[in-house]
Amino acid sequence: MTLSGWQTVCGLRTEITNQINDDVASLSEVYLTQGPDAVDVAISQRLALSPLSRAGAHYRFEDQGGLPRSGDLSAAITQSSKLTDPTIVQSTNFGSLTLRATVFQGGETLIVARENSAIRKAAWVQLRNTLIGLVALIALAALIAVRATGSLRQRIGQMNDTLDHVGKGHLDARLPETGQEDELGALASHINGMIGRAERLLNLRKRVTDQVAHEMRSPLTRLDAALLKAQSNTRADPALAKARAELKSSLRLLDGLLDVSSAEAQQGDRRNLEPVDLAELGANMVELFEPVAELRGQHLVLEARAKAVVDAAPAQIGRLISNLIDNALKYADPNTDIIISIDTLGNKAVLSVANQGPQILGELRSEIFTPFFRHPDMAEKQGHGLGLALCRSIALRHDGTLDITPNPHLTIFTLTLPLTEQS
Amino acid sequence: MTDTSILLIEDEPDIANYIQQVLRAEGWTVTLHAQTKEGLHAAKANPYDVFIFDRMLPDGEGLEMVENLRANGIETPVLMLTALGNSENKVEGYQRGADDYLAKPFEPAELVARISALLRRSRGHVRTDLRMIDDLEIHDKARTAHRAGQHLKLSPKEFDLLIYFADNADALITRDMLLRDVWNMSFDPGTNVVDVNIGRLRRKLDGDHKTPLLRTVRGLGYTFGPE
Repeated sequence: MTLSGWQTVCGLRTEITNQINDDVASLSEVYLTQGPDAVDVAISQRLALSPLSRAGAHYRFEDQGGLPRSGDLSAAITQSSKLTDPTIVQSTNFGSLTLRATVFQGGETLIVARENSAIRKAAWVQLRNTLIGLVALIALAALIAVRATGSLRQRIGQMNDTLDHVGKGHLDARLPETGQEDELGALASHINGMIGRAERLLNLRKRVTDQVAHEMRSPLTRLDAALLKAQSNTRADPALAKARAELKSSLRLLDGLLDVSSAEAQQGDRRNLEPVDLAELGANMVELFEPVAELRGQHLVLEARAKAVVDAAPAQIGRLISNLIDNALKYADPNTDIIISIDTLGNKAVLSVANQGPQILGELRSEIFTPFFRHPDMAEKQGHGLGLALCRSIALRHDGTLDITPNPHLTIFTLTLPLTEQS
Repeated sequence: MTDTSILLIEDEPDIANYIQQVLRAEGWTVTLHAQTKEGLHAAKANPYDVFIFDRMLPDGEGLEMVENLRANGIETPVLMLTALGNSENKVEGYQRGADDYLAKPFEPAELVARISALLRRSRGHVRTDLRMIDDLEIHDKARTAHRAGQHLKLSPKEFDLLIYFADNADALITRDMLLRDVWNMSFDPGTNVVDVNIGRLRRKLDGDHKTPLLRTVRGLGYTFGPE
């Protein structure tokens, strides 16, 4: 029995004692005002009621000689109950009883009893009612919770869908704002504000980059046109051709810097990415560069060990891989193989380009990815030192990494990129 | 091509004059506007063979004009000629409907080559299965080529290159055009990789022949065909 049930039983026991006392007092009043016969009538009337209505009440009213006048209790039950205190006794007919006796001034004895089972019944009824109430309350609470949870789940689901959309580069997407002034409503409003700011910053970045290009290229275009005109009007002055070559070199530097800053600024921006099969792209690159390798007595080997499809900007990833292969060809020892391998590791695609040649050791392994860095042993090679910086910024723009994998015999550049969800 | 008409939208007067000089030297007719509003009106009102659009114009963006024209069913080839010339800009240009993209400053010969290629593409050309160029025979379907009766051992990519040159015989073909149309690459690998590939094709094609068919145009690209 639960604690509340036990408390109920204790309470009812007290209650039943009180009922007996009340009954005794009531019948005593009848006796005093109307006499013993009226008590007989009152007892008969009470016993005529159904057991449930009279709450398990039983009586015995006996005369001075102990002979029964009215009631339904036998003498055997009442013998031990001459005391006026409530007492519990066992009855063959009614089971466990609580009873109390009182002796009137005329010598008559009145015994009033209550079935103890009534306590249990009443307790059970109370407990049952309590349980039904409790179950109803729980059901109601569950119903409210289910409805509230359903609504909550639907709103969180919508938020997840929208944020997933944003994550894929649709920065114009916004969380639905229902106008509900709760925590989720406030959260949606804050997140929308953040997406809006991110969108404005990305657009601003592009506008600034475009403006820089426009402001620099337009005067250079006029300058180049003037140089070209001067070249055609005079006897070919070698200085003019040299000036045009310098101008083009500066433009390549400008483009390189803009490409690096553009790729860096695109980190986290997944707009315009599409599935790219690295093995297919690698095969195209090998086909393009194979004649270059052949000229140097080198050989390009493609080892595509797994299908690796990544979400990428094809032009950027193509440029990254072509830069790595071009570097490997430049710095590999003659008559050696350059191995381009493609594999997967967990949910990552791994592409590596390995060549035999001068080693890149210690701190140079990270410095080599810094813009304008030139390896001291390779300073005679042409370029502005932006190639690997661009490669790394492209890798980072695709949530990937580009590093040099330590190896005692080979120079290995390893690119990792997240595989597409479909993979 | 005296009947070729070009619509040029360019807001910087010096550059506009320069472009017009280059185009008119080819005998092409040029109509110039400096703003997108007038340019769109002209593009919709009159037939042109090619559009040349700048991007950052005083009243709008050239690529928006391209989108507007395409939405109105006007499929005239568009060359974007713009200061916005980094890789991201070019990719955006092609994605939004431009047919070609050339960054400023540009080589006049390259501009002419690009326009000529667009004109060839839009006017179409009948490709026969067997083509004879000097003593070179190309069988398209069989994907074989012979020079002076000798079979040329070409890789699949070299054959693609040869077909591309044959389709554009006598025209200037730039490295960018080859990368885009033969290798399907919208970026410049920034090395001499195209030259090396062409060099290998040239060794197989011209070898010791007295009349080379594939010639380098210094600083610009290549031309193909008998001199």
